[in-house]
Order: sequence, then structure tokens, then C-alpha cells
Amino acid sequence: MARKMRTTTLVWLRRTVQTAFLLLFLYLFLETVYHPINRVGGGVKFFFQLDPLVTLADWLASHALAEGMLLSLATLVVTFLFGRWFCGWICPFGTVHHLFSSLRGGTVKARLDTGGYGRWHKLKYYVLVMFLAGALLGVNVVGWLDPLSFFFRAMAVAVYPALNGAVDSLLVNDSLRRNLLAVQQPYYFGNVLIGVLFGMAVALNFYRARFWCRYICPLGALLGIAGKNPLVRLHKSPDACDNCRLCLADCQGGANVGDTLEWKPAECFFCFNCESDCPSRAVTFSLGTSLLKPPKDSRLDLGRRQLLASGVAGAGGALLFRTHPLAGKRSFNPELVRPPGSLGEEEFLSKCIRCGECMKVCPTNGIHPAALEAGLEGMWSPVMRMTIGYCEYECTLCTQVCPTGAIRPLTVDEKQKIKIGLAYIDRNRCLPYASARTCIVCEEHCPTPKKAIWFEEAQVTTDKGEKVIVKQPRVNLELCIGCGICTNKCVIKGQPAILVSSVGESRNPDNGVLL
Amino acid sequence: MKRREFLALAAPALLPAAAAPALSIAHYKSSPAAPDGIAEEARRLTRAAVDALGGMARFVSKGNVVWVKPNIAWDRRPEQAACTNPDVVAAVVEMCFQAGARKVAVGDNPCNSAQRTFPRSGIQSAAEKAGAQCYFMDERKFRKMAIKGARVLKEWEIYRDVVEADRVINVGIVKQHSLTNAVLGMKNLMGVAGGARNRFHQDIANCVADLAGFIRPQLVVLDAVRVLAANGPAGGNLADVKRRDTIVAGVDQVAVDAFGATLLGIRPADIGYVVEGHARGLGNMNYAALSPARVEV
Repeated sequence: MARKMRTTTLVWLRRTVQTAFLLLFLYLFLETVYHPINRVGGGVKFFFQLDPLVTLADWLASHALAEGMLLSLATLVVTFLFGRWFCGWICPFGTVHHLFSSLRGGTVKARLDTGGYGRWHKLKYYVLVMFLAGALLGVNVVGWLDPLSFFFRAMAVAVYPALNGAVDSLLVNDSLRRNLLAVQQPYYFGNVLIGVLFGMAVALNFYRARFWCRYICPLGALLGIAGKNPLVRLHKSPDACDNCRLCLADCQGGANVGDTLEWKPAECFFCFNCESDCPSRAVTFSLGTSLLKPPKDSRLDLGRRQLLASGVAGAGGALLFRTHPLAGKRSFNPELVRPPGSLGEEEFLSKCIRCGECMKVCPTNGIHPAALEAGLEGMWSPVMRMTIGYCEYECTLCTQVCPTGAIRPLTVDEKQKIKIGLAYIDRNRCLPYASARTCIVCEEHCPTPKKAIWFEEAQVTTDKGEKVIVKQPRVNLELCIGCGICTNKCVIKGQPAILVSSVGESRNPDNGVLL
Repeated sequence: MKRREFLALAAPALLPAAAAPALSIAHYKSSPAAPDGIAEEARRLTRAAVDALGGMARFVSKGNVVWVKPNIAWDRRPEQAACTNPDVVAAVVEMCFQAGARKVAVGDNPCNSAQRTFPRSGIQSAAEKAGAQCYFMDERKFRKMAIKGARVLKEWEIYRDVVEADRVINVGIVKQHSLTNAVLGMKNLMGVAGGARNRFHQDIANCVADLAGFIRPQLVVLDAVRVLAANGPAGGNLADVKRRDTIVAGVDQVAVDAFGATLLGIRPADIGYVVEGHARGLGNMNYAALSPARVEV
């Protein structure tokens, strides 16, 4: 086994392209920040616009598509003609898995034994069918496992804040901080779970090369179905092959490149490691001329029963979600305050892919991944947490970066008229009411041009028996837009004396309050 | 007679510089409407007001590090008059360099996020163009300090670089404010404090006076080119913005604020921190007694 493996030009080319797309992804990630001109380049949505899984699920669930999403059809067409190149060459999350897979080490024999196709490969197709069956019934949770959403969300909510905190503690240089780091250390609720899941997804590459891509990824599954009969095909020359099986050692997809079995194009990422590794040049790829004659083992073999079961599971889950009190508009969670421009809850959930773009871009760190505020169905969708940040009056960035239009684009004028909720005062905690002390920090910060917080001067008695005049705040429900800066700046932390609830939000007329 | 009181009496006789006025009020005869005109007005008034005090050389010496503290608290544009006029800040920075300053830093701990208020107020670009370094404040540089003579803030987080600067120039703006009636110069010093400064509201007059007594800026420049007459201090409605076409400058921070209050039609006696500052001897709220130099430009 001392034969020397080579690295072909094609492999170097693939590595270069992968690196370029990963760097582009990271660049767009870092660009998803506040700019003084209140504009984020539309380019930050690019990768999501390449994602046909998001397009398909959004279209099934909401019968409408955001501008730019049709670009993903190009991905689908290329895959249909040539195979899953997207997974092997473009997908930035795939590249991360590839990188960690190549770090896993182990003996060549161990890698040969785990390099091939197995029945667990089918799992991702069942995941896909579950998601799409749910989407057909209006429940779109594809963002939980869509690879681009999973990656961006984990970067935004967990990885970047953690790295920022680590680097920040080492650097004091002001210009470095301004150019490289977040202006303020970001903090997100739910970061630990999202970070651990990301860590697990990456760590599983040590168990099987590109574990996520082979067994879990619903986008990979969709592209596998689309590309199971590609024009680019692997050929093995039986005369040259001496059955050393080295072609399996670095196979990324587990597509049965070597062995006596047939190549499975639906699992092939076209990474060209097999061709590169083959000491006797027995493995080659070439461009076929006809789609009509599929490769021998292009079938997916998913089984009717299993497919039906997956569909029923997805549909059943969707029906359960649909009959949750929150979905039935029987009840509204007062804590579920969404970013401005968010569609009505039902439509919102049918579009939101929980990608975390809005969370990353919010300049006050006010948007967080929901836990169960929107029901299990809404897990990781965006929710405002006014104790951490608030909605900046002159800012519309979250409405600009949403790739699916779950948060629709708004001008500043439109945004300033939208109520994301209403503030209410807890008189048992508010100092001028409860403790005869002056305060009205809330009134000071209220950003509407005519302040939505006004006050009444009241004579109260202090604990020493003194009669003093204090200003007691009130909320003008007509003017309040629920931006939450009052909550954010309230002197009482944890459970502030002025809170914003979703009551009165413009997006859900049924949750209104005013005549 | 205490030593300090003796010096205060004797100083005018002993020090020629002290013969220069403690307060100056520069007023612009016209009230230009175009942005360029207002920019020029702001710069000329600022220079005139500081020159009337004897020029920047009275306050800044060669090699000094100067901290200029504008009001950059809000995510508002200059015409909304929630933050100090950027041209006033730029003029102050330029004068500092002309007086020989080695470094001029401009910074504030704002109410909205610094990454929005600094650029949108126009102050960051104006100050940087004038050669200053504009700083988003670094949380770690707020150090708990013992505040001598404080009534309430006996110990509080204050920005280290401000305390370490050779000179501090407070460049505030005149705005209505419900709790204190007006935001002027002294209250602008809240922007060098960190920590839970929203607690200051429970005893705002003493807290502001504590800070003013601690920072004691060498020069106060108060921007009243535009003032915010209602819905302050954040504002947002152009109808609440009034033209006063005035810049007040002074070494007496209480007197500057006392006069500034009148620009909103408020009696100095109705501003708690002005009264408190006067009572503590930080300055004289009877500004007329200082015979302010009045300049028409």
C-alpha cells in the first residue's frame, strides 16, 4: 500500500473554488452589519438566493416568493444536468464539513470501511419529504436543517459572538476593534443550544466524512433527487482497476466510487478525490451526451412505505402545529414581538427560514432566536428582546436583509408607522408610582417625534412623610410603536417597569386593541 | 477667609488672563436657511465666542491632549437639533490644534448606539476632517473613581481617557428636557459617565452637579444655533426646532447654563442642577453679574 497518491489539478481547482465561496460567505456574513447610510448591500442574501430548498418550501407553504429567490432555479437546473456540484464546490457549510472531514485522520483501512454508501444515506430524503409535506400544509420549518440557514444562524448567534468575545478580551487597539470586531459584544438567547448543535454537526465529520451532507442535509437530498441522472459520469476501467479500493478512502459523499458496486450519482459531490487518488488511473469522469440513458445505479430506492411514513409524519406534525392555540389566533403570546415589517404570524412562519440574517444585522442586538415563544413551530424565528436591545427608530436593516420576505422591505417612513407592539407600565414597579421617586427615563428616550410617553405630575408622600411632586409616566397608545427603548433603558433591570407586549401589533389585526 | 476664597478675590488682580471675560455670547445677525449658510454661521459664531474669551490659547497649550465632549447622544440628523451642531464641534477642534494641541479626542457615551449617532449626527466626519480622533467609548475604560466632594455619586464609573486628558472642553446643545427642564452644558457631562447612569434621574440635580464638580471642564461651548424647544432631548420633529443663532462660551459652567436656559424661555432658577451648581460654588447662575462679552457676527 505504499503507492503514492497524487493531487490532480482538478482537485486543486475544486479546493480553490470551495475556498473562494467559503470566504465569500464569511465576507457577506461580516457585511451583514449596520452601515451609517442605513443600507445593507443586497448581496448579503446571495447564498440563500441560490438555495432551491428554501424556494420550494416557501413556495409550497406560502404560494409566494421573495424577489431574487428564483435564482435558485439555476442551481436546480445545473444540478439536473450535471449533478450535485453545488455540494462539492459551492456550499460553504459543505466546505466546512469537507475541511473537518479531511482533519479526521485514522488509517486508510478505517476510511475505506466507512467510505461507501449505506442505508442511512436515505435518511436525508425522508427528512426532506417530512419538511415538504409539512410545507404543503403551510408549516415551513425547513430552516431548522437547511444547511445555509443552519450555518448562518450558528455563525450569527453562537460562533461569531463567542469568537468576538475571545478576541475582544485580548485586544485593546481601538482601530482593530472598530474594523474587525463588533462595535458591541453581541449576546443572544439560545446561543448555547445553537452553538452545541453546530459543534456536533461539525464533530460528526470525525465519525463519517461529511456526515451532515451524507445523512442529514435536506438540500443535499433535493439536489440528489434532481441530479441522480447527470451528464457528468464516473467510469471505471475494469482492465486498469486492481481493486485496491483507494478511491473510497477520500470519497466525500459515499457514492460507491470503487468496490464492485455501482456508482451512485445522487450521492456524488464531484469532488474528484477518487480520480485523483486512483494509483492506476482507472477512475475517470466524462461528459455524457444523453440524459435518456441513466447510469446503472441512479435509483434512490427509498421505498414506498418509508416515503409514505415520512410524508405522514411531516403532515401530521404540520396539523398539530396548525391546531396550536397560537396558530389558531385564539391566543397571542404577549412576549412574541417580531421585528418591524414581519408579516402576519401565519404568513410569517410560512416564509421565515430562521437564517439569522436579521439577528446579525440588528445594530442594538435586539433580535434573538425564539425558544418556544411562537410555539415549537416558531423555534429560532426572530423575536425582539427589549432588555438586550430595542428597535432603533431610524433603522430598517432587518427588513433589508431578510432573504424570504418574511420581514418585508420597508422605507424608514413606513417603518416608523408600524407598531411592533405597545408599551405598558407596571405601576407596582415604576418608581414614581410605587416608590415616590422621580425617574421618567422612559419619557426621555421615547423616539417618536411627539413622545408616546407623557406624564402626569402627582403629589405623593415619601417614606419620611414629605409631600413631593413626581412625574408619573403614561403611554399614548396611538403614538407608541412598541420600539422598546423605554424597556431597554428602564432603571429596573430584569423585569423592567415598562414593557412592550405584542398587543396592538400592526401585523396581526386580531391582536389589536385600539378602536 | 479661606485660601480658595482669597484666591478667587485676588485672582483678577494677579492674573492678566483672568481679566478676560468668564462668559461670552455670540449672536448671528442673519439667520441663513441653507445648510452651507448654517455651517458657516456655526463656525463663525464658535470662533467669535471663544475669541471673545481671549482665544483658545487661554485654555489649550502646546502639546496638550484635549477631550472634546459634544452631545452625540441621539440617532438624529443635525437639523433635528438633538446633538451638537457638527460645525461647532469642528470649529472647536480646529481652534484646539491652532492653539498647539497635540491630540484632540472627540467622544460621548450615547443613548442610542454609537455606531448610529456618531455618523448620523455629522459629528464624526466633521471632527475627523478637522483632525480629531473620534472614539466610540470602550466599556472597559470606564473606571470606578472616587468623586471628591460628591453628594450622591461618591464613587462612579467615569471614562478614564477624559480624566487623563490635559484639557476637557464641553460642547453641549440647548434642548428641552422634561425631568430637568433643559439639557445644557452641565447635563451633557453625563456622557462621560458609565454604569447605570439612568439611576441619576432619581436625584438628577445632585448627580449632574457632582459630575460637573468632578470634571470641571476648562471651557464650555454651548450650541444654540438651533435649539430643541419641545419633545427633547431626543426630538425628531422639525417643528420643535427653533433658531436662536447663538453660541455661548465660558469658563463658568453654571453661568453658561444659566444663560442657555433663557434661550428656551426658562428661568435659571427652574433648573435644579444650575441652582445646585451655584450653591456649591461651581459657578454663578447670575450670569449678568459676570458682564458677559456680547458679540454680534
